[in-house]
Amino acid sequence: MQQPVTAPASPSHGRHARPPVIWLLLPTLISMVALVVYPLARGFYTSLTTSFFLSNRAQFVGFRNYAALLHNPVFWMVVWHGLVWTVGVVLGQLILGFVGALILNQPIRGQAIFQSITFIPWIMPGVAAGLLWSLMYDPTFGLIGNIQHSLGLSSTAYLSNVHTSMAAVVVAAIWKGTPFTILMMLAGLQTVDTAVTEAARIDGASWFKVVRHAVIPQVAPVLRTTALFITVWTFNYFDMIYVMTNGGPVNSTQIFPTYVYQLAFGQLDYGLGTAAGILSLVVVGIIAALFVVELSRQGALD
Amino acid sequence: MSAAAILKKGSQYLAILLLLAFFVTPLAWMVSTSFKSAAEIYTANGPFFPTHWTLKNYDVAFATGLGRMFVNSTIVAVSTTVVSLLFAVLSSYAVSRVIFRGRRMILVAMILSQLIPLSVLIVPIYQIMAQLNLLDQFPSLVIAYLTFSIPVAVWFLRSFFLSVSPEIEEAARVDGCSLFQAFIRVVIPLIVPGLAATGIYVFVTVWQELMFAITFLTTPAKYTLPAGVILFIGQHGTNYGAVMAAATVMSIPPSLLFLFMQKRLISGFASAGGIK
Repeated sequence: MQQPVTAPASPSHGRHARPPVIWLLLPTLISMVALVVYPLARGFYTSLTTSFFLSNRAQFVGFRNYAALLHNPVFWMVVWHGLVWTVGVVLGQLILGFVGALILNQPIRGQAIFQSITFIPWIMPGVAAGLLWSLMYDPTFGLIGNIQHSLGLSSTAYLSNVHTSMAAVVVAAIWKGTPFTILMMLAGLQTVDTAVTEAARIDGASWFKVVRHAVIPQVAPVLRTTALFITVWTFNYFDMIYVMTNGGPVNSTQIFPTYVYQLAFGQLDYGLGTAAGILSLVVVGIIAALFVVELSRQGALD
Repeated sequence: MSAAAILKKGSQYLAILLLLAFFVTPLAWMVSTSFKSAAEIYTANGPFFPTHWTLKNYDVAFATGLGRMFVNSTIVAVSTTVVSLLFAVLSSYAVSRVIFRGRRMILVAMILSQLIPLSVLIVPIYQIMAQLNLLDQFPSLVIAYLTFSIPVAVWFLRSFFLSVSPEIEEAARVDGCSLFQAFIRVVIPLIVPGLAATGIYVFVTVWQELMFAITFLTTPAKYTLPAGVILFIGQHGTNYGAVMAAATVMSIPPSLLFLFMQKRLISGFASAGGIK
């Protein structure tokens, strides 16, 4: 229910007098213009210059920084890693999160406390999670090595091996982020019409078939919104990789946020750093478009 | 109970057990390591739980400034939360209750600004803060954090505003309340749970922010927890015990807040995510 668009007579005391929209919006609009719109424009300008830390002379060079990036094999490596990282983490979180929600949705004793405990990894700081997983992966003192040794397997320094580092950070990020999907899917499962699932079960459908044909179609909108949320978060996620590998070894875990940060504040090259950041916006823009389409389809913008 | 029912219950518990093991084992390892002596940490195939519990790691962490960082993080996170809620409660009310030209555009802008990577904004915001001579001071962080906290708060609060029936407000107006009085006396009390949930979400996000903190802060006495733990405690050798103690301490406030507000947070996210 929304208020009618047109206000009737007796403006000041009428039941439908309009709140002063512009004044309500002003603080938010000013902050957004000052903190998002202006910095974006300024960042775009910086990306067209040679601009370094502590140097006042920013020289306009057009799209030279962009050209330099597009000719740099490391940049394309970052594009590829960003894709592998995002797809790996998002798929892992969605699958584990959906299965986890189905498991936690069953009516058993202690359900509430189990749900709460499961959510801690998501709510804890990324720095703490990153430090924790760095120690987990330590080849000598880490828990994962310990478990492998006790099973008679050999372990490796997962984070400092270029062949395993990406998989290692992906697993850690799946552990950290999955509870969010569980939380969303649990809420989604509450909206599932049990009459439909019961009917399917009585018709003799297996558990797997009930989930596939009766549950998933009903929670599909929640699944899509959740997928969009975590795709953007993952693509933009800085903390865990920065703490665990800082993009290394040899750029094997370098993704956009760590790459941009390294260019801007490691090499102190603002021009190149902002150019890489703007290029990463292209990817975010595609996801953002999907987001807006999905939300307007659900009527969330009305 | 029939054999089939027992089997079913058994497999349910087994599934839960496996799920919990995956999520809880690393947490338990973090906490237990923080109570171990160096001898037990730095031994291959050491025990999962300490044989001799010790608080030494916490002593080391607090001697390295953990307490100060905790206070700093609290100041920054609380300030950001208060400012974002003040701004967002007004604008969110407007975009939830009033139909006006540009409303849809503002809603879309609020979503889009949540999606912009902070790594794109950090260089220009750093330069702005440098020009304003605000670097290495808490206001620079609070202002920078508003970039993501305001849009999130507007979007989050909207779901709570939408759940308040407009008729309640109209009834107050019929009783002679002005728009402002109706807003303050009728609407706000009804969305207090939503304000709390939104506030907690903003607090938790700011509490763990790393990139701006390590970039803007240069004085160790001003470090927030994420920055201090990375730049300072981590640098004093890889003292795993102290680092795990710090990781445990910084995880406690968000976890507790979450446990208290679990239901409301979930409903906030659920409605922000289109679950009716």
